[in-house]
Amino acid sequence: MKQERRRQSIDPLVAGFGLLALWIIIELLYGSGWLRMPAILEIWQRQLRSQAQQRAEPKLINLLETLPAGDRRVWFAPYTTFPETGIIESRNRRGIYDTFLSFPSSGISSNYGAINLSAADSLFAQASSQGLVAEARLAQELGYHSFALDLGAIADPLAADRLCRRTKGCQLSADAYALFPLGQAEAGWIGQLKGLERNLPLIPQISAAPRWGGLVGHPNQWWQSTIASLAPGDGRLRLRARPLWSLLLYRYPIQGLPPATRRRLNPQGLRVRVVLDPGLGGVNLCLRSEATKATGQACHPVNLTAQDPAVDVTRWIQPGGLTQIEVTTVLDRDGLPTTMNQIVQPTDRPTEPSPFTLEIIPPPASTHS
Amino acid sequence: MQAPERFPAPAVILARIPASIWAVLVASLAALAWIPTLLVLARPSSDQVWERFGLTMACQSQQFHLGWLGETASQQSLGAFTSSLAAIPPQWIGCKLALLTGLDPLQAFLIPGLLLTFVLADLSCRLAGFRRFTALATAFLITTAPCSLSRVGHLSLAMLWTVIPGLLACHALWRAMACRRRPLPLLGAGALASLLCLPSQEYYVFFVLLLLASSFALLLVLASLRVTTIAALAAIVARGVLFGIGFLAVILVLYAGKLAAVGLGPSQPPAFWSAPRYAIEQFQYGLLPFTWIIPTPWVAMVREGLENAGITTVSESYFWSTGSFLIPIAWIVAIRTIAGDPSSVPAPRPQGLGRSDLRFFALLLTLTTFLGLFWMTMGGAGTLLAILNPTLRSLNRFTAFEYGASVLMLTALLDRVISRRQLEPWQADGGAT
Repeated sequence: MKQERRRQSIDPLVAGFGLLALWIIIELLYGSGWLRMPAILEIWQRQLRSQAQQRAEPKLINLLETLPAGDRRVWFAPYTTFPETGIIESRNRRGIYDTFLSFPSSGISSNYGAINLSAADSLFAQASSQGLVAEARLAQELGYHSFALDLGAIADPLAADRLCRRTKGCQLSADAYALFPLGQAEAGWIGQLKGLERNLPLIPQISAAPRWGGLVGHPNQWWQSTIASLAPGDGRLRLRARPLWSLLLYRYPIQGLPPATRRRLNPQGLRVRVVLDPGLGGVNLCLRSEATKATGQACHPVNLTAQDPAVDVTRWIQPGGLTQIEVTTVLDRDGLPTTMNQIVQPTDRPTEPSPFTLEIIPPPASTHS
Repeated sequence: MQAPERFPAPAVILARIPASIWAVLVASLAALAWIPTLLVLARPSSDQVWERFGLTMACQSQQFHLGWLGETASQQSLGAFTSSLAAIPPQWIGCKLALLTGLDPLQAFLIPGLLLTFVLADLSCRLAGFRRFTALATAFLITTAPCSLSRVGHLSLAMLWTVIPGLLACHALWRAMACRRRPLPLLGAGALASLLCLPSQEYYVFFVLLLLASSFALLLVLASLRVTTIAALAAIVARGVLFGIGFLAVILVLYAGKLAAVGLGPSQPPAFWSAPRYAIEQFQYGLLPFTWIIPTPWVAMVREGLENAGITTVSESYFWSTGSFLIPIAWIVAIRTIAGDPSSVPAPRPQGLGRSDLRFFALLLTLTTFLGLFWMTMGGAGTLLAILNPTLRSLNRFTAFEYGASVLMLTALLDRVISRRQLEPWQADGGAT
């Protein structure tokens, strides 16, 4: 009897493993999301329903696929830095990528995917910080064929909808994009974008960078004393360097741009000078780019002194590449080496000290056709 | 012959089900756990933008194996997902599945990822001496690891297939060092262990190599305490080294394409490799070694400075991954195993693990935990890696190995319990398998 009772009692190890299995099932139920299944299914069903509804109306991707293969260059507006910030700007979707990449390959190229803080990102974000008109102009300049305005990401989608309906060639997609044509002849609508703003105006300014005449300053490294001079146009422009030991500058690649933009940028006539800040005795710079690499030197030294405060550096700033300007020495009025901190005064006034200024001089009027 | 007496009739009927059917049943059960995640992935979150972008680009270009494919940013971003030659088959299958079924590439990739995790874990367990039942249990547990379910957005956690084979590579190393074998089988054992890991992503390859090197060092120290002659110690070292050579050779072959692209390519590695995605990552990972010598307030100052400059600061949340109570339970078992009576002689076994295997898995759990603390915590020794390459980050993904070592500890004990108490009907029945 005793032996039989022992045989019938539960083995503690087996009981232990049984309890462990139970615990694993609980963990699995909790971790796998099966407990949230009703909510997940609801989302899933809603998506299926909306897919069925949208099948009748074309999505942006369907509209783009009707274009000839060479014309599938689209600018997504408002521009969003990649990877996206995590802030959901669009009311309709979680990010442009929902529409951007269709599957399988559609041969579409776009402004989306420029890596955060890269030269292209700086350029796009700077235009975006000036508004949708600047974005559309830049898109046109860079040879994009279509301008896809995300109606969910702008403050007044109804106004954009109306604008699209009265614009010839504009199409509205079922996923709430207005697809404007960007050809030179049919782009009269660009000016009318003026009243439209994005939902979250601060987003593009994260990496805003000054841009002029095909030159783009790295974000937060250059500044201008007057806001008005941000607008592209003719005339000399002064970009002041922030008190940093290394600054970056990017110049558009000229090839691949539409002919009108190429003519306007006119790389032959543009001159770039570095000019010493009047409050200093001298600054030694060293320029590093593909052009300096070609000469065999690690970087090209440029010494600015009170006697010779401006030096032409145009030849060292190559189109389609980055130029790094290193500040090797800063001399104060008495000619003694000093530090960036000592030339900085903590003030927001436009007269903030700067070791040097980049002066961009447009080509003479005769060559600027 | 004794089966009808010892086991109830249902157990005997279950024992008659063929092994392959069991494997399919358990794998289907694991797949069931992934259904909600699979449904959710149809609408990826913004956290999944990288994975989706990279996978879709890889699918479009039909090129999966090189670190980067070109000069443009979109091509460079592939670097995170396309690593060794071993990455080609799962990605290719994922892309074909996406094409055929209309699933999102993210969803489609999960299917080969999970199948590989299950099959490789099961295979490596069987080779390590686990029973059929416990090997399947291990495969099930690693495929449904809570950390992988919660962080599937980072696709690397759908690539858990390296974890169990990687840990069992340490077990194979221990066995290789323990018994006398000819050089060729030793090299072969190393190569096989490496192949089972299907080394395809840098994180996991690095983790496995680190585990293997640490195991080797630890086993060497333990051996030196027991062996009396230098010659015997040298023989143990030589066997371990041969195993290691076999292991590394496979990894080198699988990474040959990438290494050649890095070494012989005309262009510099893309900016994507050297530039972290966010400024705060550059700070956290690139400058981490400096936090050893620079006092903590500086950290806060830099963060504040970045915020003031308007630079997005994003960091990975450490509370995102789900933990598991399985790990502390495994620890208790490991302590009990190590503290157990070493003089007890195990009963002869037809198959399954022995007591020494159990002790090794306890040691492996200890080692994994130590490595986790020593290497993988922020500011730990792992920060030295940031000097080499700041993009090798997210060392907290080592958690998967901690979970794997715990699973192995518990399933090894289960294996042992089944052996000692003859609980498995198909063993007693004899003919069922």
